[in-house]
Amino acid sequence: MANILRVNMASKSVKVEDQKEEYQLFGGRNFIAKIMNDEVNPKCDPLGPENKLIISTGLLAGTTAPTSGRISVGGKSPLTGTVKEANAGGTAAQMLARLGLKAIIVEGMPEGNEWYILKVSADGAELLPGDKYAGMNNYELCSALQSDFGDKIGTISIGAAGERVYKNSTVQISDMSGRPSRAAARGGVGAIMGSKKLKAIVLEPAGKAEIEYADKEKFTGAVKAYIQGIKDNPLSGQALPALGTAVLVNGVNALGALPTRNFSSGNFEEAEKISGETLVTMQAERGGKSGHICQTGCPIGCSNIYNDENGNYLTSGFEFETIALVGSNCGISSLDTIAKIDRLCDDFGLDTMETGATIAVCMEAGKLSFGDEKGTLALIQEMIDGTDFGRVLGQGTAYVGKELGVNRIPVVKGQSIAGYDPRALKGTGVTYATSPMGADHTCGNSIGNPTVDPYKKEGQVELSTNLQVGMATFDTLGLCIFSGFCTEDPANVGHLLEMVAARFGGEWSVEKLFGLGVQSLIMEKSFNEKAGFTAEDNRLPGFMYSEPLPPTNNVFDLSDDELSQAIPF
Amino acid sequence: MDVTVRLYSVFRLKYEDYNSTTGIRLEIEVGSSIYDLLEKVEIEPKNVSIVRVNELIVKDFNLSLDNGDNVEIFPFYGGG
Ligand code: SF4
Repeated sequence: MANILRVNMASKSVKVEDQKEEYQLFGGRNFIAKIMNDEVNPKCDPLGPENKLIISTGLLAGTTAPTSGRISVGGKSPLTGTVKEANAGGTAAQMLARLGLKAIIVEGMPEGNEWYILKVSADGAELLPGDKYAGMNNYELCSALQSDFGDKIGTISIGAAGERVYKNSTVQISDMSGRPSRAAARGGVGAIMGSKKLKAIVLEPAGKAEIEYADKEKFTGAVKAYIQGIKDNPLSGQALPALGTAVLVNGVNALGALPTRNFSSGNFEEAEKISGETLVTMQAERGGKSGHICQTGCPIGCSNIYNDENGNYLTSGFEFETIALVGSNCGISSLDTIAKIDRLCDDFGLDTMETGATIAVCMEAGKLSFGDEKGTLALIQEMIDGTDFGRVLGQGTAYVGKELGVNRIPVVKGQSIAGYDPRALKGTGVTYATSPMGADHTCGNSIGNPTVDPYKKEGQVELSTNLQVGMATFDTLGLCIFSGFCTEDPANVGHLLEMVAARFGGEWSVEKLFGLGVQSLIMEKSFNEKAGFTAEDNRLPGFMYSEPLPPTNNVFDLSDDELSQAIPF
Repeated sequence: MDVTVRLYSVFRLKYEDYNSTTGIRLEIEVGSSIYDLLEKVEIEPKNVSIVRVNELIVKDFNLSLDNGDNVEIFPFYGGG
């Protein structure tokens, strides 16, 4: 059974614990929820010694289950004050599994101003002095770590944004080329790591993951069938490999839900210029890549490599959400500028979505105008340079909006809304309002659901509830949610069930499988309640109830009562 | 009569030299509906999530098209 590595930053001790029997069916998201409930005071200061940084693999980590290498990073969020789980692809989860670890729990805070790195190898783990890496941003840091520890290492790191405990800072995970381009982006998890003075975790390569299976042969058969299911699904088999998540730009724009100029329209007249279709054609000319995979064995490959106008690597893992929030939502229609900002954010360690939403709020306040690319880059530079206003910007959209006296602040529980305006996609709106994570599309996104009219409120609460349970289950299994599109076919749910049963043994039903997600949500809600959150916090921003969204002129019209019926456990 | 057809996502992949500025100009019979047009571009209606005609979403694919219409056809999407 995989172990848990506990790192105490106050005593500088590192301890490998046998995983408790009761943790066997906790992984990724529900592991974070469990530890937060069992061990962390919900009223604690997120940047104080009582909070913990939890890094967990999912239940299927280390196996050949497709996309099972997602890594969950969490704790109490400095941005939202809620429990937080943010997950990313890259190599970390598979490497941890090979090192025999299920999770790393980082506790306490050191005295003094020294920085540390944690090195984990097959021989054990140790905290090492990290001052020489302090101040480095993620790309430089990764190169430095690779030259010190070899180019086969995996890294989990923070840039200077995390060091300065910016509330919109990320934890970056290295991809298969060793680049820190995959982000556990949301909720300021980078600041938790920074508050503990942990600059990076270095994972040394190890042998094969030793996984015990209840029935190895059955597992392999189920994996094969599930991969076929992924490939046969038009989204995971065709659209995502060919066009990446940026394919959503034109589709969400057609729906009238593409955030435009601080959520004042659902249509961006220049959507085609920043679309996945345009991106792919342009990158084919520049020698970039689509259909790129972020982890070994992914049969989808939604990722990309984005080259600049000279054909040199600029960024990778360049996603729809970044394009929506930094692009249309700021009135910016240059893919190159958005990609530049993506690179700066990955490097410095900022959530691209929170950053885009924050800048659009500055635009709304008149600090710069919508579409001002130079001004946007200058504001990001202020964050990087750590000027007074740059530090304010690092506190996130809600803080900046209040500071500048803006009325229309697109956040829920202090976290910015993602790339879908909830007035024209009401199921996702219910998720934004009620998810224990704050406004987070990955917690249950209703885009493309053929059964419920996105503009009507009927059926949205039930749809969002089902999606929230499904996503929490995938985040617990450690599977990429894009591998889940095929579960609309019950045969593939069957293969998923077979996989889990063949891995862990015992009787598994659909209820037990998705019960993992329900259990996560229950624990997360309970933590938030003890932290002081109430039903009153489960609301969208006021303007979304009263201000019709052009061009469809929808408002968000689910009542408080209706919202209270979402995730009713 | 002529209409301009704009295809998105996987629908566009079938056309290697698709030009995103101009779309595809198609001659159709007077009185053709959206269903007729979908048949012509070989897209099954069940795979279509949204059709916009001159930037307005059209729910009823029986609608007859007019000369010069700009028709946009979108497949289903999944969440990023
Ligand atoms: S679908 Fe994309 S995000 Fe998911 S595992 Fe594959 S490459 Fe990574």
